[in-house]
Amino acid sequence: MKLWRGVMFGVLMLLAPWVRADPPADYPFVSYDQGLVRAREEAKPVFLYFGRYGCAWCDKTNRESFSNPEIRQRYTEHYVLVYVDAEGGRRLKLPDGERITEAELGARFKAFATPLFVFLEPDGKVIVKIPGFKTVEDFRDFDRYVSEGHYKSRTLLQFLGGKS
Amino acid sequence: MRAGWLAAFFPLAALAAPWEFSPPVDLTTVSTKGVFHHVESAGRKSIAVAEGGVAVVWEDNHDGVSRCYLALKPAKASRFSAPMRVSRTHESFEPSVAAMGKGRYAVGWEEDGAAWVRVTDGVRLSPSLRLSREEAGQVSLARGPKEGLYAAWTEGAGRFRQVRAARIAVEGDHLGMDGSRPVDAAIPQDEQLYPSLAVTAEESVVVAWEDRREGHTRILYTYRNKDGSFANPAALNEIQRGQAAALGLGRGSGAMRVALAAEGEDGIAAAWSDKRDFLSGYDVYAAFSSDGGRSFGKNQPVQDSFGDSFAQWHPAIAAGPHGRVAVAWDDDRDGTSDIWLAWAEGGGWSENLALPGASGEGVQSDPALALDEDGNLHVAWVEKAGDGAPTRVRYLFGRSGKK
Repeated sequence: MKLWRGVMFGVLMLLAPWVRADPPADYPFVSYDQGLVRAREEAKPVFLYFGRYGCAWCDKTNRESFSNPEIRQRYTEHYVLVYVDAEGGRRLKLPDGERITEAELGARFKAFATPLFVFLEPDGKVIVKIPGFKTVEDFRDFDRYVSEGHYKSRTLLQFLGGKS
Repeated sequence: MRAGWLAAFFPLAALAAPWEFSPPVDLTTVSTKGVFHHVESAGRKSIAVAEGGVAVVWEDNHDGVSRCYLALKPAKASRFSAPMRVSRTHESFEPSVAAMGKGRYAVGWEEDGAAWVRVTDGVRLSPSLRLSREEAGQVSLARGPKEGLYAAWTEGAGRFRQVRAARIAVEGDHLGMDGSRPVDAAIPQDEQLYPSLAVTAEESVVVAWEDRREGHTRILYTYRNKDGSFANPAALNEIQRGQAAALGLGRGSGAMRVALAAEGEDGIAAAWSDKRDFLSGYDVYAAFSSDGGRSFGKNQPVQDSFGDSFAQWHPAIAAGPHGRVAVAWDDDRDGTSDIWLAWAEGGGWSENLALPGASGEGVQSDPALALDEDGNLHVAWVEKAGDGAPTRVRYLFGRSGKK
C-alpha cells in the first residue's frame, strides 16, 4: 500500500508542472528582472509569458504547443524566456529601479487574460502582446514576425494577412 | 468620459453618492526620476481613521532605498504632517496601518525578509517588534475593541509561505506578542499569501487569504475560536466550472488580494479580485458575514454593467456606521486608469462612481479607503501623469451626507 501511494505521489509530482500551469517544462524561463538584464547583455528580444497558477489555457498551451520540439528550439534560441506569475507576490526590480510584485507587473501590462504572451525589445519596449491559447503554427508565425524583424515595418495582423 | 456624460444627463445619479468630496491634497511631493511611491499592503490597509485623525502609509525610495512612511493628520488639524519614516533602516515594503485611538497608530511592514510592527503618535516611534522568525512579510493589522492589536502575516513554513496571526499587547510604547499561530493548523500543501485581518466590535477575529492548495488561487477564510485556535478554513470565492474544466485543463479560475473590513457589531465585509469571467479580466467581488466570520453570504459582483467588460485592479474595502460599506478600485473604462467607487445599497451595489479628484487625465491607481465614525470617507491613492511619469500620493475627504 505504501509503495503504491509512493508511486502515485511520484506520478502526481511529475504531472504537477503541467496541471498547475507553471512555465512549460524544459524551457529555460527566468524572472522578469533577470531576463531583461540578460536580454540587454545578449542583445536578444524577450519572450514574456504571463501565466496564472491553475490557468486552463496556459495548461493547454503548455501541453499542445510548447511541447513541440521545434517551438522549443526556436524560442530557446531566439529569445530570453521570461515567465511571470500574474498573481504572484514575488518582488521584481524593473530596469528603472522600481520594485514591484509580479502581480503588479501583470496589472501594468494589463494582463487581463492568461496566458498573455509579450515580445519585448532587449531594452524592454513592447513589440506585440498576444493573449490566449495559441497553436504551434501560431507560435511559428510569431517567431518569424519578431526574429526576422517584420515587426519593424508591419503590424502582426498585416504580417499574418500577407504571410506565405 | 462616460462618468461625465452620465453626470450631465443624469444629475440625480451623480448626486446620489452619499458623500460630498473635497479637492484632493498631496501627501508627498511629485517624485523625481527614479523615485516611486507605492500604496500597497496586504488587505490594502494603507489608511486608518479614528476620533477625527487620519493616517496614511506608503513605501517610497526617495532617499535611494525603499522605506515605509506615514503622514498623519491629527484630529482638528487642517493638514497632514510631513512624511515620517516608520520602518527601520533597511529596505522595507508593504506598510499596513491600524488606528489605536488617542491619536496613536500601529504600523506593520516587511523589512529584511521579516514582519515588523510598531506604534506611533506621529512624533514618537515605539521600539519595533519582530513578528516572524522565518522569511516573512505581507503584514495586515486590525485593532481589537479592547485596546488590543491583531496582526496577520505570511511566514515561511517548509517549502511554502503560511499565514500566521497573533494578538499584540500594547502598553504605552511596549509591544509584546501574545502567542503566534498559523491560521490553518494543517501543514501547508502550497502557498498561502496576502492575508487580510478584521476584528469586530464583538472581538470576532477573522482572517482571509489567498491559498493555492487546490492547484489554483482561492480565497479562504477562518475565524478565531474562544481558545485562541482557528476554525478549519472555508472557501470565500465561488467557482464557475467552465469548458476548460470539462476538458481537464487547469485547476480553476483565479482570485487574489482579498480585503476585509469589520462592520457593525459582528459583521465582516470582504472584497477581492476574481477572475471567474476570464474574458474581461479580474472583476471585484464582495461577500458579507453577519456572524463574525463564521459564514459568508453569496458572492456579489461590485462593478456595474459599464465596468463589467474591463479589468478591475486593486480593490479595497471599508465599513462604517449604520451598515455603510464602500469598495474602491482602479480601472480604465474611461480610457485612463481612474479610482472607482461603489457602496452597498439595497442588498447589492450602487452604480460605480469615478471618484471626483481621483479620475480624469493621468493615471490614478492603488486606492486605500476608510470610513470614520461619522460615515465620512477617506481615500488615498497613487497618481502620475502617465505611464512611467513621476508619482505622488494623494488623499481625498468625502463628507457624509447622511448622519
